[in-house]
Amino acid sequence: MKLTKLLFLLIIALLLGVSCSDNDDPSDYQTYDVTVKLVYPSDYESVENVTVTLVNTGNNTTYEDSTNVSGEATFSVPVGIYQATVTDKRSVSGSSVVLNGMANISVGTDWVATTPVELSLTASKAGSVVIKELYAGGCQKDDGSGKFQRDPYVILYNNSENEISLENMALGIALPYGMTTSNKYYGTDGKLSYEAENWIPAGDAIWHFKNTVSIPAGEEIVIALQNAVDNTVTYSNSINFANAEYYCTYDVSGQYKNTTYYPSPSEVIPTDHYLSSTVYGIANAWPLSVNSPAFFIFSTEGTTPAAYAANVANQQNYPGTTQVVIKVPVEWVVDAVEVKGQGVDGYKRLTSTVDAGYVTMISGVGYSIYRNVDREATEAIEENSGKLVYNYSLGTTSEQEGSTDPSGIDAEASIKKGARIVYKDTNNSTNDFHQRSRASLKD
Amino acid sequence: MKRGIFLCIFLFSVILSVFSQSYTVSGKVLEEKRHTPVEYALVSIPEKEITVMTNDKGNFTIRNLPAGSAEIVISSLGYQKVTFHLSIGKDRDDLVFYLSESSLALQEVQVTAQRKTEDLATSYTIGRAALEQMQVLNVTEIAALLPGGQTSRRSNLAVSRSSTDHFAIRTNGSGEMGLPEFGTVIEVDGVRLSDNSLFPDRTAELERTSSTLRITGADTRNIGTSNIESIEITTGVPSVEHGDLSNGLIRIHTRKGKSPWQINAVTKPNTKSFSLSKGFDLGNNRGVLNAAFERTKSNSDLASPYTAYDRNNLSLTYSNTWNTRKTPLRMTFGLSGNLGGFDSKADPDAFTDTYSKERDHTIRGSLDLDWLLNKPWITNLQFLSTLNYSDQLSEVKKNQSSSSATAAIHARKAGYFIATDYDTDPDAEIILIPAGYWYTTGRDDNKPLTYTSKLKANQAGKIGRLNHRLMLGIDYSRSSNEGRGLYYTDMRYAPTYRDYRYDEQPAVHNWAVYAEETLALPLSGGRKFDFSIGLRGDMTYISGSEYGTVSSLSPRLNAKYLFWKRPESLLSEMGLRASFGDAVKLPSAYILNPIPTYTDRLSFTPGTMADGSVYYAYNTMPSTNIYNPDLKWQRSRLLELEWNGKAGQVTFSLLAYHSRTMDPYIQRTLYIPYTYKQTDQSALNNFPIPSMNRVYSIDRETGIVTVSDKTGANPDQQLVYKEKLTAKSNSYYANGSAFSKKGLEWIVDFGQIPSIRTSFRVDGSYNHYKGIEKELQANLLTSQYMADGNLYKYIGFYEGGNSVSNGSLSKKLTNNLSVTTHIPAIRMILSLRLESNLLNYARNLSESSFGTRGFPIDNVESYFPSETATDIYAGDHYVAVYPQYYISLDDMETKIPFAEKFAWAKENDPALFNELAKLVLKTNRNYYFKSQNVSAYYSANLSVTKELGEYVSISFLANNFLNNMSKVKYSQSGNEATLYDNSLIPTFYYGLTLRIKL
Repeated sequence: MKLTKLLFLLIIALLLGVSCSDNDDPSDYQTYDVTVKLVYPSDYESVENVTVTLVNTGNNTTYEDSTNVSGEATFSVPVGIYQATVTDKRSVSGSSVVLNGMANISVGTDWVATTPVELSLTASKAGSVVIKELYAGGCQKDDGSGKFQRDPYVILYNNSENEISLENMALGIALPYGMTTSNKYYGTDGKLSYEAENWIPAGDAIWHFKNTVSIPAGEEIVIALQNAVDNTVTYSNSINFANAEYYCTYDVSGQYKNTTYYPSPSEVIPTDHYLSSTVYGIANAWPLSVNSPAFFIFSTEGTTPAAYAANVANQQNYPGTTQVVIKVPVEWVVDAVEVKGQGVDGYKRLTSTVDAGYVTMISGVGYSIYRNVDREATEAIEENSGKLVYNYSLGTTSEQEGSTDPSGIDAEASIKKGARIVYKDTNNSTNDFHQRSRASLKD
Repeated sequence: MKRGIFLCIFLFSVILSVFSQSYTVSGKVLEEKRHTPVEYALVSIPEKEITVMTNDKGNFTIRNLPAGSAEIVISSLGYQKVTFHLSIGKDRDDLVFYLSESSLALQEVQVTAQRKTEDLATSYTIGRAALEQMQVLNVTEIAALLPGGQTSRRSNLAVSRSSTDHFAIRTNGSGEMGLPEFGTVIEVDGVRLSDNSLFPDRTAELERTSSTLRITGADTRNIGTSNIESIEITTGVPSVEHGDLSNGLIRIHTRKGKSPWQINAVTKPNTKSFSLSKGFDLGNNRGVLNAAFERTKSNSDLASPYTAYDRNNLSLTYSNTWNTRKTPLRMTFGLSGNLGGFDSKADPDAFTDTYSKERDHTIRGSLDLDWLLNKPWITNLQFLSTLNYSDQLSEVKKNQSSSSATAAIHARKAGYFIATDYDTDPDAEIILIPAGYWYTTGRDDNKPLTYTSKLKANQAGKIGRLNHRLMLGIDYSRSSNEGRGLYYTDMRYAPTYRDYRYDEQPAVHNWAVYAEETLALPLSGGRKFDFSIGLRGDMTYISGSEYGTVSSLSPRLNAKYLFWKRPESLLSEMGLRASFGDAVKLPSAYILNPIPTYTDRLSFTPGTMADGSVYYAYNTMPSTNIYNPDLKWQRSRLLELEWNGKAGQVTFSLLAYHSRTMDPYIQRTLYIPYTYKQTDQSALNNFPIPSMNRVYSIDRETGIVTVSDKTGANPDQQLVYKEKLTAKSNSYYANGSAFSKKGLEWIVDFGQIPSIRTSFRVDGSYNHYKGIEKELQANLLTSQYMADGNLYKYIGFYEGGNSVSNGSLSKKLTNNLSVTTHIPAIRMILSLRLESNLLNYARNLSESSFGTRGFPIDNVESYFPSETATDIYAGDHYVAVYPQYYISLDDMETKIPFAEKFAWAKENDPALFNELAKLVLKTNRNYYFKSQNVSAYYSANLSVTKELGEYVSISFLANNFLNNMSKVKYSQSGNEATLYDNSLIPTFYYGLTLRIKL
């Protein structure tokens, strides 16, 4: 009984004590309305539900509120010096964009609540969707009759920290389809004729997604570029694409109906995972090179890929031929990889702003082109500790013109252990890619 | 009317001949050195169509010769042919002619093509010596010996049939209208190598590579060259007895007569050849049997003994004459065959058991009866019957594999068909080939069979000083194909293809009657006038074909006038010759009935199951065979004028020709719209029946897909479909626009300079070709789609077809110098030939009957005419061509003028503008219409033949022996290229032949 009384008294005393302290200084509990208005760079619109944080620099009290439609957040705060910060993450054209803003607000007793405090945001890219792997060279058939090369795929990986939408994202291949010295885009000055005009050619057709697809940060999607079936039924060295998570380029209701490239996809792949084609060339299948493709992904701005590609104003013939290309502005290109065939001379097709280098491939033996790991950035992620697998052994330096990942990190093995890999993205295939002795889907 | 004239001339000449006096001439033919009789020698008087054969004592008799002079030609295998002039005024039995054996020890040996001056038509003879000097492997090589001819680039025979060399006379190369190779015909001992029943080579289809079917001339690789005695090439207006040609006649004569064993061995880097021949005297006037065997093997690659063409020729010819004293009947019966072909089977670089081979088996038979009646009303009667049967089966064995089941479509009817397992229904319209590995053996079985018979009567006589010869004849030919067409040995694995049996196609029968009167009038002062006029009527009958009977008339006329023959003056001879004639090329069975094509549209396919099995349904629409009632037989009209003469020992000939080809055969397309249903995989989204329990069916007529549940748990369900509009294309042959060729040909033979025993000859040609196709032709982009996801639906009508150019102009000037040194004392002949190409000009043309066809555009992306440039031929602008008008598949009647609508759409209907833009044709280079002139170039060939005594001779040749590596400039692009390994000249190449006579 004594104890109960004592506890009761203590609670009363505490309550009184708090009340007393509040009443010590009237100005301390007087609050003022502070409205913060986010001012975006001209390319960006205000959106709802962006969290704005106000921190009282004196006592570290933190206040949070979400923006309304016009990008305003309102706080009721007592007098003090505050730091307002905001981070708005956007997915723009296949890249992650971070909009940051910071301002200091001094709330005094003379605070007038009518004028919002403007908080200017600046945009910065924070990684993008990258081509993690391009497998295009095929493998050996089981009966010894040669190469099976109709099993190419590409893996797109979200290398940023934010979910990225693939709206208006398209797949393209540059001409000439194979790297060659007889590239008709080269003028007598030794330069690509489109370099000065800031575009790159996408030959014959582009592929785009049917529905809006998003890739969460650090996740990937696999796109079968031909034969989206379990190819291992016949070719044990090939790829099994019978996976409900996979996507495929399949659009036989249009011009690309060559069933040797596009048999009916595995029934486990949902039909909304079929990419659509917009074909402006004359072929009946996408002419992806099995030796040395120049593959890129791009995201249209202000238009859809289909509308852009169908407009003859954006089309052109590859010089001296009937092959048709569309002109893809360089700033739309999200990522690209230029591949050179082993022992084959050729001129680069991608301009230096898109891809300043190239990676060499040996076709027909199951090798793939795989992205190098950004060791520094990957090791900097705290959660990766203990999950990274080193001593990468799938490089091909023993081959002529072969390559390996200089980071030494085995990305796929690390991912299996739960690591989050950050890949190198310097827009230079020589630095960013290596030839892997096994397609990652065969791991 | 014309036939009436011939009848009058015939009756008149018969009456005159009956009343004029005639004499008998007899004598003997002896070998010059040993004075032994020459048996089976032919003694002939060409202008009277008389030929008799000597008996075992070398004796011959010719009866009923009118008074006057006659030219007697005596020839025998292995001997130099000789010509004598004989005055006939009484019976003579004391004539003795001497023949000398052919050898390099003789004073005169010809290793160039000799102009046959005695002929009224332009023709050339190439004799044994020339063939040996050239070491001919394929008879097409002799085209190089014609005026201005150039050595073939091909150094071996080991190529597929579609890419072998063909005879093409007076052409500037590929791209000319009127199928020039198809119009050049070849006969071996009177047997026509007809292509009329040959279907174009479909090997490309077996290889599953795309290629258009090309109609070409006969493949001559199966003709053994070691047994050829001579080749006659008629480039001018041939006698009316030759029909079904439009661009020259090549007649090959094999060796006939008694001869010793002859063994030949040829070695060239890619080719080895061995041959053996002998003319057996059967004794006691039982005739001569010539037997010849040749084996030739030619490899495509020097480094590999595989991928080869084989030729195994056996030829037997029996000739004899009966009743030599009164009315001699001369018979020649020939039978020759070839076993061989092209084969890549043994190539170890190819995957096990895969190969491509083409049979080139052939059997040729001929029976030639020449009955010398020598009556006033008839001189001789000739009957020739020939048979030519070839087995040109192509076989391709391929290794195949697939990771999912594939559909092989064989449907020949319209409708919707489901791919079915072979075990369920081996006769299914679509066979589903399961995933895995397999082999296919595909064959294209082409077996053309041609039978001909001709009966010809000659009546030669003399009316005063006028020699005349009347020829009347009747021809019959039948050509068919006994081949099965394209097929696969195992239907279980046969890919998509359609049965089309060639042996079920109707045979083409042709009847022809012809009459020709030839007159020769010797005038005073050595002047002479020769004239021939003839008319040939052809009647073509195709059984079971809508074409029925088609007839055509070909008049032909040749005349020559010798102004003088004065051996004492500098210009000792001068003559003029003129020819005019029509020739009709009969269409081939393929032209009349093109192989049907099929449009297969994927109608439904659900997803592939885990085991790789899949379901495919296709809509098939066959093309229909279109009868073109307006089809006319291609006709060419040739006009020639030649000036020839002799000055000192220099003989010269300058010939101008103009040929116009009317109604050339061209392929055209007719489109017929239809709709079909397409059901896509999304129709199965959230489908109640699990995939393992689904049974799909498609209605053959409607194309509606129904899914049933195997377990019966769910009711049947029809799937949602879309209707798609498309069109089937039917190809057929029609007649194109007329085109012309003209040119000059010259030969200047300087004769031999005795001191250096060297003769010089210059020959050359200038050919000018211009062809423009102006017929409106429809074109639909059948495999393209519109932005709205529908099939492309606009059909453009272009003048002369959907190509930026609708014709071309080409000019070629070549000049060759032949230097021949012949030293009889050491039995050696050395010839050097410098081939020069002085002009090689070509230009693409775009011309219209309506105004302009094509306009310059300012840049490659533009669709509208440039405001500054107007000339498409300036070569500094890209050029665009619009169709005249277009129609839409949903309204085939309304013709919409293209230019106006396109300009309107640009402003008002961007979607239509984007679609119509696909109908605009553009050049892919800004210099496309600029003329292409290749700077002058040359190459030189050297050949030498040396006899080592009587029995052995050796020939050596080196083509392009200087291995010319200089550069040529192409004016169109301004680029330069080296002649090394350039298609303009032959590659450096050599050959050696050893000949032994026993």
